[in-house]
Amino acid sequence: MKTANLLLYKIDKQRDLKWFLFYLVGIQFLLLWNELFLNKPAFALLKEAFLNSFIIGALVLVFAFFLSWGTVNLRLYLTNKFNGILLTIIDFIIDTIKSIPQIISVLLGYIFITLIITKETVKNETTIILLISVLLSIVIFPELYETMINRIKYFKKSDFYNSMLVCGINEYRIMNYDILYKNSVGFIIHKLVSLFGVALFLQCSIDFIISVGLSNDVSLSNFPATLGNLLAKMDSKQDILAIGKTISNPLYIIKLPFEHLQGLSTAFIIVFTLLCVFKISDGIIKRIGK
Amino acid sequence: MQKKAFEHLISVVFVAVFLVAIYLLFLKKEDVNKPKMQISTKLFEKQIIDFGDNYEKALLFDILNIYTPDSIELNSSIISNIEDLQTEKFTDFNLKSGNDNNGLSFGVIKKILKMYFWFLVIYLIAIILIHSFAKTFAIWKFVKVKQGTRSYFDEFVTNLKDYVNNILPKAVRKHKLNIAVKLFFKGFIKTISYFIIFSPSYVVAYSIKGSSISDSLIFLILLAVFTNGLLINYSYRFYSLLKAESKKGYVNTAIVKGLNNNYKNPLFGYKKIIKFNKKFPGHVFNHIYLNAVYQNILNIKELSALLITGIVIIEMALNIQGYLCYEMLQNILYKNYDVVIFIVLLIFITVKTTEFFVDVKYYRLTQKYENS
Amino acid sequence: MELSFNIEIKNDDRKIVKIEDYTITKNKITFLFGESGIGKSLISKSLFGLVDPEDLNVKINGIKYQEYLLNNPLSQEISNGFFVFQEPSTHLNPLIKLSDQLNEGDLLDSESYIEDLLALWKGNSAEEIKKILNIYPRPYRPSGGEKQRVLCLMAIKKMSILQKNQESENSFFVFDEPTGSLDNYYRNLFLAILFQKYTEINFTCTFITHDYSIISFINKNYKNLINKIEFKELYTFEDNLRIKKFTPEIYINWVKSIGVRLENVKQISNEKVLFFNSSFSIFNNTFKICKDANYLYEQNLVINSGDIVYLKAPSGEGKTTICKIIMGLIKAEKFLFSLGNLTFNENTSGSIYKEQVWGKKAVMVFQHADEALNQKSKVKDIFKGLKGYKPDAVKPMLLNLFDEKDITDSFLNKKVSVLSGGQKQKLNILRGLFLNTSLVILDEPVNGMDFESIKKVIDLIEKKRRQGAGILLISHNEEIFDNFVPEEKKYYLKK
Repeated sequence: MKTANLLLYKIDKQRDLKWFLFYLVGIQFLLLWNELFLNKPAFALLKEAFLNSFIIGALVLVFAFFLSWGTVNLRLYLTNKFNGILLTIIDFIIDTIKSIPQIISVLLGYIFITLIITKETVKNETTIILLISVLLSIVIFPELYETMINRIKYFKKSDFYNSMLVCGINEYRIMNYDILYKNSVGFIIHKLVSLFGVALFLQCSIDFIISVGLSNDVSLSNFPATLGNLLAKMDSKQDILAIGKTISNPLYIIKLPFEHLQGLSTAFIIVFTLLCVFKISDGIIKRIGK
Repeated sequence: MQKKAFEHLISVVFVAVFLVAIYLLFLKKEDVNKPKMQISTKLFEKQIIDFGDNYEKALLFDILNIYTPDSIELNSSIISNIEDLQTEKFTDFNLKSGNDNNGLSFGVIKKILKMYFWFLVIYLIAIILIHSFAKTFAIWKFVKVKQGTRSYFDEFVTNLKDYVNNILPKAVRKHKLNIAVKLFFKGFIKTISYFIIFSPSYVVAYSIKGSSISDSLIFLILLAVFTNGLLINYSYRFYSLLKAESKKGYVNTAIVKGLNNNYKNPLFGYKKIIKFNKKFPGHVFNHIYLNAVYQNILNIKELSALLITGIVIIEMALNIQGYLCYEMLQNILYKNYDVVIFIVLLIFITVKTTEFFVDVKYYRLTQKYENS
Repeated sequence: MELSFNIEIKNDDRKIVKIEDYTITKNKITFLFGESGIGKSLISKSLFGLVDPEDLNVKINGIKYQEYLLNNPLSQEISNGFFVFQEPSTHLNPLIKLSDQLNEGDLLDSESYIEDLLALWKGNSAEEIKKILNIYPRPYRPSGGEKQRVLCLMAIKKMSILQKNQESENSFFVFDEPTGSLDNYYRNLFLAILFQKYTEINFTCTFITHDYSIISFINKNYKNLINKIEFKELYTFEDNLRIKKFTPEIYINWVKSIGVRLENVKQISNEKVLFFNSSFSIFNNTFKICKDANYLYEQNLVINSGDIVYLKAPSGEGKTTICKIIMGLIKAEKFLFSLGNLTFNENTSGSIYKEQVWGKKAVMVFQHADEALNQKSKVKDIFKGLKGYKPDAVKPMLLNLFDEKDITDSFLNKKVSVLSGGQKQKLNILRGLFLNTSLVILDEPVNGMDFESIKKVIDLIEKKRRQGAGILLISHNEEIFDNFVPEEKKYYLKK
């Protein structure tokens, strides 16, 4: 009892852990409920969609991290070469990617993926997942890049950078080990967590939008099952419309959790994940702040 | 400043050139019809057999082979050509819908510019609303934290414990139960609003679709402001600026100068916080607020890109005719990529213009504070 | 009358400050010394009610902080008093004009406070001063010293307002390093005003400082107030803090003892380590290096092997700048210097510093150990990344400034952030000296250290000198180093 109390007290102090556990419990509960009340094929589809969406999210984080980290080091490499022209070009490209509204870049990227699928008949699901992840990571990585650059700028402003430089310590070591690894891991993790939410949001939105289809050769059936896809299916849309019914007919709310599970579960997973990601990243930043 | 304006301009030009180049190289609507052999077209037009029936197609193939036995490959390509023509007949959107939308023309441009005008209306109203709501929400949260109010959940649990506690008198226990029930409802409403704020717009929209308001402009603006998690993310950004500034040294100097440091006072009542032009004279918070607002100006750039993402999603996902982004989606389907690129450029110019104005405002303020 | 406080400040799990008997003597001026980072500011802030209970866990006299503040025994004195904070640049709002910041809250007074203003800005007319104050505070304008004077002016204005309203008996003023950025001239001016006001309103005051030379100054000029002034020192004893009184004589005798070392100063060799041309320009300002304090005789700066050179200049006038030019961290418009057999001027490319200078020919030990060291690294890792680093070289290097009994395994595994200010500064110096370069630049090396540590640093400088290094020293602890460095090795910098 005492250890349980102590554990609860410690968890309560760490908000991010609290919300992460809450999230796991919530999802488990939902899966259990679905096991009991949702038909088997729909449930299998739901599980596959859930898994795919999360795999894409994780891959996006990995790619985005390496892209940002690589660009930061590339920037250092190019600092004193060619009069800084290449440096300006890199900054310019990243600024432009940031300025284009994310959904538009993702949409244009999806057009390309669609064309590739048409022309080269790439139907392998893994390849498509990889392509989607690469696309999303290119659209998202400028935010992580900016976080890293801001940390480096912060340390350059103080004597930190200079004092190590004049001792003959290698610039790459100062930047990667001392600044990014020793002093910025919390910030990077916080950014990655919130980017996971952004990736999930973009992914679901674009899948929902193209539910109309982007070409006559390629339709949703060519793309792997994801949460957005699932939400866009006719029966899921019906399920959500049913929520509207409860506003005019409040008693309907009793039937709702039993009869319209596919759409409701998908919507719930999306919203619940976004909410918990937000709270977890908020908790992390509070922890770093101390 | 001139350097920044120049950069923005170069950006627009670069993206325009890039997109046009991509269009010309990859996306130009070629004659989708592969060079069809004359004989296939003739056979198809004459409709000599039912080209939907596989048996009759095989029969034709055999007949061709009997007549020209040395060109089996040629014959099979004639058949596949005819099959292509058959598919196109049934799936060409242009033929199906009778739409002769074949790219950028003066009429199309006029139509799009009209839709762009309404897009701008939604965008401007939404950005002003988000900007002021976010500040209000962030200040409210900051004041609540300073006042030391606990979360609904903690208070609910405490009151429930008191109710169950047999030592306290009955009247007190009843009172605690009342408070607990009220808190339960408050918490319930808070949860529902959290769910609305964090859901992607289409989920909320579909929940209320079918009612009369679901296609109106006001509903679109409300969706753009309150869903997609945009409002809460932006509010939190301002809130963290407020928190960061409240830890800085000049706040201590202000406290020691005897400025009011009490957050329970009527200066922070609802009416005062909601006001558009917020001022907090004679209070320490005035110092914090000024600095947070100044640093928040550059965040509007990011807000603009995110807001447009939200508006695009709403218009596309709700399939509302007559709005810019839905038009873009339709043109992707019709493969009129030049129209698509035109719309993308319009949207990009919107973002860049917002960024330009933000940079100008920030530059002017910075010049003032740099004493020049 | 003496008030005693039992103060405990914790940060979640870690104890930051614990003192059982912190005393404040009413109606007297207490000069509080102690190693930097030991907790002087934090204790004063907690008594003044300025600590945020969300950040730190404070208990005073066994009572929780929020409860204590509701019944604060010093509340009257605090509301009549003022707190002048340590870093002026962060304690002024960058978005409000200085003149407005001087005129709000309790300081809102329609009558002019011109005499106080003129007293602190002696030498400028009222119009000039108004111009200086009618601006938004930026990082370099006004200068650090001027900003500090603005904060002091706020306190003095409060005192004048009290005088007018005749509520002066009970007031508590705290000055946290108010003279750190001030030159001796302005420091003495401020002290004169402070003592003048004290004789008029008899307040209680805590004056936190590192500047031991104030002791000599007071001893010489204000002997009549000596029984109204106390000198105390805060020190660590077995994990807790204690406060003790000390007499000025202890310090004065110690300073005299340093002078004895002069006998051992002999030129080691004639090898030129650094030659810096007497005139250079940067940021559209021209500087010149002179041999005398009146800036009449311009002379090139020369450091030979085994020399120790003391570069003096008014506060904020370019001492750190010239060091950064030598190290190639900033580019000046016109300059010329040579390190050994390499020459540098405005046309030298940046990469040469990286290839030939950094860690090889010269090294610079920066002023603020908090910024210069990686706070997250462990003590034993502080030398990693340096040329010639070996794990067993760590302990011998540390023995130069630390006692053998202090270098335990737990100490070596501690993170730099939990060390005291003096310990951090020692590590900072050791890291620079690890490399055995021919030129060592020391920027304020003994800032915030206690007597024992200062002695050790001076011994180490002497040891390096004998090994042949040339040392360029910058420090505002003139009283200490004036005795240590021979006259012909002192240079004066002027803008």
